Amino acid sequence: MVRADLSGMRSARIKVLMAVVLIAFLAITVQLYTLQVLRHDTLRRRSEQNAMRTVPVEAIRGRITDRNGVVLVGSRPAYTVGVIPAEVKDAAHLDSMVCPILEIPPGTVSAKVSQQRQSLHRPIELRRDAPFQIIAYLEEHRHELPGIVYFVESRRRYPFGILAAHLLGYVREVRESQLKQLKDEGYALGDLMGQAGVEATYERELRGEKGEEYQEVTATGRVVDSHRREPVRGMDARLSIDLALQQVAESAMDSIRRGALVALDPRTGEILALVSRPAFNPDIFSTVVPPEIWRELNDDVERPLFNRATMGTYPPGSTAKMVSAAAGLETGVLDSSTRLRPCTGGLAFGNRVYACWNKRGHGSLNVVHAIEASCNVFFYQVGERVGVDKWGTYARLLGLGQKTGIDLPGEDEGVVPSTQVYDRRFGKGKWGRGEALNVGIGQGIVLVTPVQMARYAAALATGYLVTPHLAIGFTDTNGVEHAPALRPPKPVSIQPDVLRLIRSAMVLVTEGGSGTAHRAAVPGFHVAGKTGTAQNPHGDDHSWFVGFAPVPNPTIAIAVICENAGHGSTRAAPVAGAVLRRHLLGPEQPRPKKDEEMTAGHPIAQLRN
Amino acid sequence: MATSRQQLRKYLDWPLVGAALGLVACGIVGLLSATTGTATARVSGLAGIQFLWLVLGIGVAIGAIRVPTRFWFGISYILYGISIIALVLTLAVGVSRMGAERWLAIGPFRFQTSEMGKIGLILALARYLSFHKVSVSRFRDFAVTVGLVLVPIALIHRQPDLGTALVYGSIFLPMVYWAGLANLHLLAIITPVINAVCAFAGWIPWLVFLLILVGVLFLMRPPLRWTVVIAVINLVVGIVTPAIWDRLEPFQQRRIETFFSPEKDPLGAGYQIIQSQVAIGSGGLWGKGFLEGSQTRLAYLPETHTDFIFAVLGEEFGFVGAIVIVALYVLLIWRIFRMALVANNNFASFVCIGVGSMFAFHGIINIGMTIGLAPVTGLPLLLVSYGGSSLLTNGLAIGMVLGFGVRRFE
Repeated sequence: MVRADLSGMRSARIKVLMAVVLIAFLAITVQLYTLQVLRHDTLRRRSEQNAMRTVPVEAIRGRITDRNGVVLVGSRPAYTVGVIPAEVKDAAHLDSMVCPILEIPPGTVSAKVSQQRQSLHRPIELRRDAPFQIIAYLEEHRHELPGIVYFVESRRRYPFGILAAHLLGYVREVRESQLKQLKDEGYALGDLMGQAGVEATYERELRGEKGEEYQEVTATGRVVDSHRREPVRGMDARLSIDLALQQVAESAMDSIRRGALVALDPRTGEILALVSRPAFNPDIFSTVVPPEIWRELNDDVERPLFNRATMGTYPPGSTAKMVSAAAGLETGVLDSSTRLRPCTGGLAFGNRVYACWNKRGHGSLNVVHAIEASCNVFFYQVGERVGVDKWGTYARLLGLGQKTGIDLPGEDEGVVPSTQVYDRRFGKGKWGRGEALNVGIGQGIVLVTPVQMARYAAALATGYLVTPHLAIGFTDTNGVEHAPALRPPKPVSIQPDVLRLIRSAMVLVTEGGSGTAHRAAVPGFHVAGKTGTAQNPHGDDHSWFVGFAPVPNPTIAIAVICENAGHGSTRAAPVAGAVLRRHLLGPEQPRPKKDEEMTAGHPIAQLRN
Repeated sequence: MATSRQQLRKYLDWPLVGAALGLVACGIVGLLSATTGTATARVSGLAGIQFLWLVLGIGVAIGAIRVPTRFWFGISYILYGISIIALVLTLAVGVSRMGAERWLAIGPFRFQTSEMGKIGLILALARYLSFHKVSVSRFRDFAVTVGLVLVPIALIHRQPDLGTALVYGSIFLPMVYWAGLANLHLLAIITPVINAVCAFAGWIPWLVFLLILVGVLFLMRPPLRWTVVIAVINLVVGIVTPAIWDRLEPFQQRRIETFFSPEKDPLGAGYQIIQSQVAIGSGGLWGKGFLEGSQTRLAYLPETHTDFIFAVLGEEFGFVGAIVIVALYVLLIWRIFRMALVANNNFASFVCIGVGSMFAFHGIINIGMTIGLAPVTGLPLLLVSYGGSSLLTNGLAIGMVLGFGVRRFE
């Protein structure tokens, strides 16, 4: 082939090659025109129908156990039905179809859908803990119910029913009012959140971290593809509660209509048992709370949701006589042998007579026997000599009039008297010195909470103010337990001799001839205690007991109040006695059916109350 | 024979440079879009990496421009040999990615060996075909060229990468055509391929093909001998095709099936093709705007940074943007083919045809795939899709072609 031929052939063939390329690209251009211009409207609509759905994957909430690891609150999986606002075509139609099946109030779907303004691709809960039949129905009718989805969530499980309900608290859907400030922390409408008790205090630890499932869905709601960011399980919280002791405390308090009990370790502040009466079953909150039940719980005059152990404030009555004794001994008003004016059943002061509970009178007493017999006349005089301000100072030293710092929300700080407080309440100069007499026996304006009183008993027992607390460890997903940071016990600036004297008097209360709390005694141990019978404007006297045991080297401090139940020695002291006996003597007989209860989470246990 | 700076400025094919840089720029824009906010950590940051590869690729191209033609001629067989060895090594110790062993790890680098193999094949074929005693009309010579292309195809085919194997074929055919292959011989090679495709498509396309073939043969009036040869080849292919079908990898079967009827399996293998067309179509005339493509954003599109980058650009920049890319591609191919005509030696001319064909085949098949005109073969859109080995190889190829142009009057 000659060179001229070659170049001739090539100039022809380059045209053929280029023609092939151009034809191919022309075909491409035509197809592009078809897709992007002619079929644009159809395909645009199609792309708009495509939706990416992000379904949150709830983290399993951490368990709550007692100090020995027995599960007090666990989690179990449950189906939750929700609605995705962005996918709802006809909310009214869904209302009529779905509400009756889910057994939720009519109109809920459209209400919830219109409520949600952001994250329209995120499902809102309609019904928690839906039985499997409902899920099966929804799956079958998926195509008729665009926007309705279901997923597995963990639901709280309470193996011991109402046991320790107040300290455990409950989880509830995040309220709309809370949502604004919680959004940054990743909460969404319908999320469950600890709203009371340790569930609320340790929400951050228990909650874990939500995961997400990204689902590619077609217009019919069918999931085409999904990938997942796994949730991080919440930490398990170990509480200082001793289940066995708590059970004894609960059953001892069963006879009490309204009241509270706090038992703690005076050396550390670890709460061993905490009871408030009346109680509620936290299980009702683990699903959607019907409004009428919520209203009922809130409006109940007995206020079952109210944790009396930390929120209830009561006059301490005679249980505050140790404050008076300490104030008197420390300020030099008294020494261990000082005998004030003898008790004749009352004390005339100003133009009225201040009565002692014992109408026959106690006669002449020193401070130890005045505590043993709980003589009002003696402590009226101490109160008068010490004055409200000094008394208040010592009450504060022993932890009254201030929050204890317990890891439960909504603690009350109570009231401790001082000139300013009286001035503020009654007006300057409009209150008499007689107030000091009432303060001397723990009446007047003094108000305390049961947890303050348990801490107060512990302070008397050890000379240290502890911070009462429930959480003693958090176990992360790696099984490593982290101890929460704690404030160390703070020494009480009261002379050890004074405290020793008071302790010996408190032992006499349970052991001495004229002691008022023999029913709190434990054979073989010295129990220090003090009863109280607090007058109050709400009716019958409140029955108090505070104490600690064993003396010396106490391992438990306790405070019990029974509202409007009468005398401290007849109602509160026996309750405390039962708890102290269990703590010091151990189980009276092998624990009945404990294992069964634990593992099965028997419904009967939840129905108790 | 060193290239002077003045000569470089005067004879450098600026339209070709412009087309290549324009396509690479489109690629970076598309990559930014494909990797922004798609929540897949795997691809975020790829645009930056691609930019680094681009700088390297331009460096390689600039270097390649200055390399004398006889150097390429000299190393052509060696490079071919090296690429064959590399392919064998890939088969033996390759790094698997997405189920296909196409990567060879050298130290920290993973190199897609088939990319380099393309250049090796082009150079080797160019050298052999430019030898003045070789004529593709002679059976022995033709058989050598077929051997040169079949060896790498066989090695790649087992990797398995059908698309790249087809690229080798698409480089081979224009080059032997350029060497003067008779139209009749070309017909004998092409018809069985079309025959096989039509046989897959179904009875009606196959019958249509047969009718056209008969028509063409009638018009060309070839010698009886050749008529018989073409007829026999086509018959054999018709019989063998089902046998080959059975031996294909399942994913290859699926790809071929869904190519012909993507709607049949909208949630499986057809998903990509449908979503890609939805993405491009929803872009409309002007597109949804940079980073506004919902198909891309919502991860409806698969492999947006590689195989389906054209769909990203089509969605976000519309018909206008798509036409710009098509025009740049046509310009690129035209300038390379044109160089084949003006080059001052036969070897360079063949190389230009090979390189131009490679770009043409990749461009047509990749864009065609995203708009439903071609099967999903996994071929990237050269210069636009993400890929380091690919950018380096293509930089080399374009630099080589530019160099032939600069030295065309020497």
